[in-house]
Amino acid sequence: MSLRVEEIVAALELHKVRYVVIGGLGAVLHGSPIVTQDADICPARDPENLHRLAAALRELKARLRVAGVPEGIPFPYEGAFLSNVQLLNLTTAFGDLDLSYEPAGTTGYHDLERNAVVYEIAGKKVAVASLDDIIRSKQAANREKDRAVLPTLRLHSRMLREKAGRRDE
Amino acid sequence: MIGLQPPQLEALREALETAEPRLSTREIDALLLAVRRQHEDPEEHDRSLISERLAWSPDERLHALQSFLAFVERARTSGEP
Repeated sequence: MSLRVEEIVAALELHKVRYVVIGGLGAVLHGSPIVTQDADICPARDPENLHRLAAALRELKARLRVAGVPEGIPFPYEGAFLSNVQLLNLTTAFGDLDLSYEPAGTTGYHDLERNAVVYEIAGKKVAVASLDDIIRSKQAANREKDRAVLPTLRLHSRMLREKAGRRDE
Repeated sequence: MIGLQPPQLEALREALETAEPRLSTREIDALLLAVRRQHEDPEEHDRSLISERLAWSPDERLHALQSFLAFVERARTSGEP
């Protein structure tokens, strides 16, 4: 299932889920040339938001992504289930979606929402973690695949700052 | 590595045991195993993505890439903050 971000965003919006786009997709929206294969989001973790998130995941026909099980494993679309995990890797009707309540190096939604940049995707306002916050998180995660993309993201961040500086002149 | 602590696993099992519609013990065990693997094995995430894409034909892989690039183009042109 190829990634269809607009449909995922539409379902989250329909159910008024509060979240910030993070990870590779966030970097792509800021202009990163590194292609990603899934959508990563950091949802707010309060019970009301998890209830709304559960409804959105039901609509997206989300299932747990498991190697060797292409259709994924069904799980209960309930806030109680969602509140007792730290992350979930999901497959949905519109591609792969990863949830992380506390991405590495951050304290979660409120931390990332503070510096988030709002983009418009398919007519919906979407909060995207700032590139510097994405870099901060990848630095903290420090996996081989994070280290591989960090030089490009740092260069990207520097060029964004230079562009903003020129605009201010 | 992120791991779920025993109290969290216990709470997760309880949430699964009280979920509606009811899940069988086998389903609960499979879910717990999958969630634990996602939390404990840093390669699980990529393994599942690669496993899916290995099943695609080259045409399907190209289509997925084209579709994503088309989305990026739409987001960049309509979504400048």
